[in-house]
Amino acid sequence: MGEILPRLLRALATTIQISVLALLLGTVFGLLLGIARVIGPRLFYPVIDGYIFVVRSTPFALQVYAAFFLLPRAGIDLPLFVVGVLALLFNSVGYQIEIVRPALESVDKEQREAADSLGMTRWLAMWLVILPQAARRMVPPLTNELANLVKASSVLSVIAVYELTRAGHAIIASSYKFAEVLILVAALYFVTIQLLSWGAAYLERRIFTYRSGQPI
Amino acid sequence: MDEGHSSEPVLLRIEHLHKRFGTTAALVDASLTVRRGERVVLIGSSGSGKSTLLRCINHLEVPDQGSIWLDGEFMGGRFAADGRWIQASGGELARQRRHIGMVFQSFNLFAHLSALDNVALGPQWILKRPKALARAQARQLLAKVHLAGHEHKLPAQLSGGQQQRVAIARALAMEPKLMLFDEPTSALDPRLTREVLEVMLELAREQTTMLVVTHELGFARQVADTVGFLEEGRIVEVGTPEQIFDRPQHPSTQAFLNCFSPGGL
Repeated sequence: MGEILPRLLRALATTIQISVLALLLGTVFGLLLGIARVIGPRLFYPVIDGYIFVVRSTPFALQVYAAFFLLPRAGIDLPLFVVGVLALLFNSVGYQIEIVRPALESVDKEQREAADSLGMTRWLAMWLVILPQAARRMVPPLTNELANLVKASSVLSVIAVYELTRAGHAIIASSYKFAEVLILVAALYFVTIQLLSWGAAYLERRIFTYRSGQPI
Repeated sequence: MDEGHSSEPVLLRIEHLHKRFGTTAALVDASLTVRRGERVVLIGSSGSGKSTLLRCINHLEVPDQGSIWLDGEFMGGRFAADGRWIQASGGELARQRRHIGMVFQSFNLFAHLSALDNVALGPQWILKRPKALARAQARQLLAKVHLAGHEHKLPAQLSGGQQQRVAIARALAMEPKLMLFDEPTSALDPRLTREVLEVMLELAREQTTMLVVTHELGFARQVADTVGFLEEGRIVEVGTPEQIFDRPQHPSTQAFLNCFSPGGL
């Protein structure tokens, strides 16, 4: 027991790194593609929709295998950690576009009309008026997505990324302590996701509450 | 037409405007002229096309047919040398809209910004004024609409009348050639209505060119140079306030105004 927990904690660090990296990079691409899907050239719409369709209608494990086997065949040799992040990113962006788009569309039409009537271009209106109001509505579903990512990253154990589930597997294989290890691994996932959720709730309150400026 | 403005150049010319929503004809062959400095008030029942007319002017609604000139420039596009109509790009339309201020029935202030930022946003980002200048001007405009001391408040912290006055200041900040008011007091109680109308009265005194859709007939009579009455998408009668309110010619105008006469109920 004495050496199991430190090993699991080191692996948990990898799990968190992969998940947070996928979430943050995913948010960048999710925002860009989500915005493009709302006000970009119509030409992009079927491409973006097709991508979302592929992500949503294939199992994540299959996407991981695809990244593991197809990237090297395309001559792209990357460390397993990077392949894992890319697979998770590919998956998460699909879902994050569908977080961004409805949030943008949920901002009142009147806000957009006010921006239009002032003479803002649609990109300026997006940046100054729509996005700041929509951002707040993206936080709860993004928190959800982060929890999903932490759990989904366990699938990366199938391509031998040494994250929490893989580490648990390895320890069981050498020690046969099924119950202890499984309970510990489950508890670590649970605690991690709870902490991240609380963090996100705190972020939502602190950063995304509209605050009036300083009294003049 | 009022003597004081008949010699002024035409600022807005609307000709033969048509607009349908599905099977409903919202505007039918509407034509209207507004001269610089003129105050035009449009009255009529709800659904008569007044708001649609206003929204067509800055192309929040794209008219099906007809033309709109603002200061000699076609709104929403232009004719090429060979006579073909070329639709304005998003950027061109945005540039044209800068000259037209609009005040909405539901205020439509930017919910995430303070009163000051609501007013300063346009000048700073669209007119590219230095931030300090935009904010100083915004502060002056808020004082002008009697909201000094409320600069830092969010729209949700302001009353409806205050919000609408911020919205007026926001529109004025772009220094538009023409101000459109789309039922600016319809969502307000009588006291708040008064606050807003007083500000509009001051603007009228300053020779702001205004096109106002309203049910406040007292305001119309007091402020308007020209009153237009709309029914079922048509401008059925246009004249001075005296002509429209005291000697309405069209039966529809007479019927509409009768609803306001004392003892009518």
